[in-house]
Amino acid sequence: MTTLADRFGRSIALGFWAKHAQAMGALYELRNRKAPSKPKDREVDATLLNLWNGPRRADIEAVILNAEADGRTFLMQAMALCVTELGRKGSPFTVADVKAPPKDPWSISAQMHRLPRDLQQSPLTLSLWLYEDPDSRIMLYADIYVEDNATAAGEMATALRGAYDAASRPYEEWDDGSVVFVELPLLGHVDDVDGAVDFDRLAGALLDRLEAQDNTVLQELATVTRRHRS
Amino acid sequence: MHREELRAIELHPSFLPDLDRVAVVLRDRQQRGVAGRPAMPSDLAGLGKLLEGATARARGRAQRLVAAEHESHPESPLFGAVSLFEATGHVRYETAHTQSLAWLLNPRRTHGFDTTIFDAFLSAIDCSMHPQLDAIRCRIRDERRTKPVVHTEYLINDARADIYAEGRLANGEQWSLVVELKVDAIEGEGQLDKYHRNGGNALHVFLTPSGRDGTTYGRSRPWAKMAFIDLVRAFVRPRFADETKHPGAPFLRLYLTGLLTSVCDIVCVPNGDQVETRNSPYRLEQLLGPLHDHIG
Repeated sequence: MTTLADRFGRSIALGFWAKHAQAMGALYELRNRKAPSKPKDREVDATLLNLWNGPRRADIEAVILNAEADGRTFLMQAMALCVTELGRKGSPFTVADVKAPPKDPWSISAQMHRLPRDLQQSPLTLSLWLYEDPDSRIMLYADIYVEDNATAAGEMATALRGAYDAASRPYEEWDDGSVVFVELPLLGHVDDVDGAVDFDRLAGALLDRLEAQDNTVLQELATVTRRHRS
Repeated sequence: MHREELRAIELHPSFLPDLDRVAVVLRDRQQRGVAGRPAMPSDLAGLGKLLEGATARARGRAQRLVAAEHESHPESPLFGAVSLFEATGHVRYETAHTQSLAWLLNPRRTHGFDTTIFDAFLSAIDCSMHPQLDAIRCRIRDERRTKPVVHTEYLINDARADIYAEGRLANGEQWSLVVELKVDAIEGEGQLDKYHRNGGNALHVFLTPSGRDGTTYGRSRPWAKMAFIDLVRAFVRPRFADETKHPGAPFLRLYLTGLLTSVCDIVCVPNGDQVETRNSPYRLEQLLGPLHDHIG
């Protein structure tokens, strides 16, 4: 039987990016700058700047374009995997309005509406990201947050404090109203032979994390949003 | 890629050799007309179909479960029209929930259930967070134990536990059960720790709509947990058809319908041979799946 995880494929461009995250991050910033890059840029190493302005620029841009395409496609599939798993676990939400920002290939989000659905009630937002963390690691990152409702967000963070073990950052304070569900380094899922990110393995790790988590987090989110419905 | 800021960066020695290798692969793919993307659906329409399919399968199974329940147990509280808590205006009033549950758990009350409901309650306790508590639960479930004495608002360590039950095991040792119930409110600071009873046969249970773990107990003072929906599933199966022997049966049905509609948000309305439900299929699965494990 073919499963979702059988069809995730691989990305050599993202594998390269994950291995050279610092350099690729800086090159990505250079690529996205509107003004031409100049040697007087103090923030960027001269070698890197010369590389960007030299003959290898086309190869680097090809890596970036492929990585963006691979990343976006993987995030969409990963979102489908999350939704299926949350449903299997008995999530009290229905997921709708999946959006991939047109100018940002590194994230995808979906609205989570509490069941029974109530249009007067603000939904939660489930987001998946590919993100370079402060330690220059490329991470697959999933979180849920309350949008435009500071009271609910603050209350949610308090109410969910007991579910730390269900989150990926059990010993950190949560951001306001945000729950980090999954945080996986891409470099841990790069093939030793060809250096490609193995999305099947990454999706498997994502599924493992979701399966291992106690569903009380979602139940508690439902309680908080219900309280703010009335 | 989202990142913090630009920094002074040095190229790793393998950067250029790796770039050579990757560039060859990407150029080859471009020449062969392969986009270089993983082989998978590439648009949101594909994702939408996946989601619709998953939801449709879940709804189909939920409908089969509801139909099976209606056929085998037409008197099930799932199909009840009257919620105890709505009728009395106490949907979110925890004292009403506490008193109702304690009355059912107490074998000395006039409901006629003896210890059946108390034992069903024990069976619904979730010890998964602290497996060592399961041994205590098993000792208390031992039928050779004495009948429980059940109190409400019981004073423990200068705090009042919602429900407290106690008795003796077959070997004469004392056992105790502390139940803290929350419908909407969150725990007070250090609340669960305050109710802790020492002793090898003391079991503590935190009962909430979601079955979440408690947040205010220490590692050496573990609490088990329970969701109201699991409590309903445990209470719904003992059949008390003879109301002369079980005068509390009508009350039990109103109580369970009340929990389903007012706390668990599960409403099923019989309409002829059909049952209309507007609930999440996953919630219905959680309630009925274990009761009808032969339904595919």
